[in-house]
Amino acid sequence: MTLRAVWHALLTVALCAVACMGWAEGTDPTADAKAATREVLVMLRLPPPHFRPDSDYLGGYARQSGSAGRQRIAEELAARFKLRVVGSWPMPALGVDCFVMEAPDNLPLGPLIESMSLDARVESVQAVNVFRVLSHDDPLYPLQPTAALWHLDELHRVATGKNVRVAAIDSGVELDHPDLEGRIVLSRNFVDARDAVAELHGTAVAGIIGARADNGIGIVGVAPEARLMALRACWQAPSDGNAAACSSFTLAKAVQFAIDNNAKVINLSLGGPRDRLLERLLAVATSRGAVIVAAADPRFADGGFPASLPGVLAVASDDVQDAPEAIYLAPGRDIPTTLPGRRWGLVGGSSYAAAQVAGLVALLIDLAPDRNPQQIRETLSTSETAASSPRHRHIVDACAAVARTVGACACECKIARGLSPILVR
Amino acid sequence: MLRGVATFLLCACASSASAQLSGTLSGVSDYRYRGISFSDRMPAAQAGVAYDDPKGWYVGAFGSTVRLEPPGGPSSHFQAIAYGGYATRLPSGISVEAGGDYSVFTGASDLDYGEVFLGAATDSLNARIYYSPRYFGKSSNAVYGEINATQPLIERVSLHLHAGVLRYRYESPYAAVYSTQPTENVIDARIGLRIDLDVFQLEVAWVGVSNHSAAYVITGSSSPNTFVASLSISF
Repeated sequence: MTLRAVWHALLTVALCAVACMGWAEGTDPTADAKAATREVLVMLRLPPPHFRPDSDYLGGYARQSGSAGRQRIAEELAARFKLRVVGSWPMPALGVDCFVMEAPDNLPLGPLIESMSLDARVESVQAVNVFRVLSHDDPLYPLQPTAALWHLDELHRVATGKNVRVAAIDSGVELDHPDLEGRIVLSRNFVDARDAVAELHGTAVAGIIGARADNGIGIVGVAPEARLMALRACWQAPSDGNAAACSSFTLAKAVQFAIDNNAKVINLSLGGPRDRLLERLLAVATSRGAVIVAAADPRFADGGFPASLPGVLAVASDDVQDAPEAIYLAPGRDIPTTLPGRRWGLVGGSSYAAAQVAGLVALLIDLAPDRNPQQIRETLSTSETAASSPRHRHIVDACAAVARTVGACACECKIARGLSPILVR
Repeated sequence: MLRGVATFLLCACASSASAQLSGTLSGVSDYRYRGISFSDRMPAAQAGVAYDDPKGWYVGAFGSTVRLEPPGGPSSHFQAIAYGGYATRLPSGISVEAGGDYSVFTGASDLDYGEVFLGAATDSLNARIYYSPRYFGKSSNAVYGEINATQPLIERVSLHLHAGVLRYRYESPYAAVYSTQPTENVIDARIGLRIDLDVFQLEVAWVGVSNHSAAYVITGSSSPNTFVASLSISF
């Protein structure tokens, strides 16, 4: 049995497994918001690190001096507003210490947030929102290796995303998957205390971005030499392997970590209601040079949140009809990728289209590390007018983007070089 | 100066609900100040309090028991430091600060001195440079530069690194003979492991200093390289 035959057999088995799973598109984010938890996020100001003789040798990190004082203020606020402090996390990128407080069932959150925002000790306050990963609802697309559309083989001759830090903020990744083994340089769980959690959506996204190349098995990631950070901020639904939820708090912790660790690309294959805390953190990440790639939710005209934020590269699957002009379209069907249980399978949807673009952005940064997020977005911008629609469609053309970056032909150059003289003559 | 800081702290706390007051109580096996033992290599008790204004202004005070017993000189058994300044975060994430501190020694007021400093910090690294026109009450000036780094290792455990260089120009009876006064450089370093247990912090550190008996202050004992431990409670 040849490797090719093995590969097809694996995909067939995976396809059947996928069919049995009954993949479903993420549930309505607005419904999620209505069913949000009873928790609020209360931000207390985190003073900038400064001279203190009693912590002179302890650096300036937020957990050091003053954290007990903020904890005390949080407890006072909780007592005043009849809440319970359930956790906290410093977010020096915003200059805040974020406290999670739980409200009793009979306390309406709207008036509570309004009252708390008037307290001078509170920097800001908001409800905990719920986000959903954005994957396709039709699992049985014909087998179609998406990487071929972008001529990955040829692109990888000029760039592999080497040493570019890519943060995949998603559900858990199977770290010892044969196609991901050794590819994850940093892994953190911001959901619970477990060490490693292998979940479908996160494992699939990680594989698309950076699965190992040339190892004789499985797939090739779009950026097979990028430094992948697997940041678990979402948790898989017990009843549906492909569905996963995340909260404002878990996502904010992961974004803060990505900023702290100098991520150059942050992939958010998820969507939900507008969230002020995340909006602020993502703005800081962008201002420090990170390219944010987010899956666009086709049910929202602006792509939903966080895809609709200024500066965020919003990506939807290219089979989405009438996508707004601000949204980039990338292959989003039949993408072979890694799945938990040392398996591979086909996935589809905007989540995975975004993951591919995140990998492509890593390639572009590998080629031109000095380009800022705005320049990277401009490099990707290829506008075309579809015959069926008067509107421009931003189809991501990887070869054109790489060619624009290096200033030379990137794909099918042999043919182009062969044709060129004839055309001249 | 100390009285002024105390008055400011009281007024500030009463006037601004959004300000933050915090402090620590500590016990240390050996109080090392820029590498030099100020407790005669004996344990010391310390306390510190800081007030952070919402706009970035801060003031604070720190006190420690000391055992400065130079032969034939006045002894001191308590050091207090009052400090204040302004710190702000830049959009890049780097914080910068400027401030001053004043140190007093009970029973040995001729050691009292003030200094000003400038600093920059990220969340894991900070650096400061201090200038004192009359370091430890002498008529000579001193410049101290330090770099501190923090690296989380595992949950609740972090590594702390410190390196400092003091360039001290000391009084010389030969100043009239030579055109420049002699200077002394003292290098100190510290490598510590810290464990955070909610409000408690335990630190074990190795402290090294290039000049075990620094000329700028006569403590009555030398300061060999050693391990020190501290236990602090934050409030």
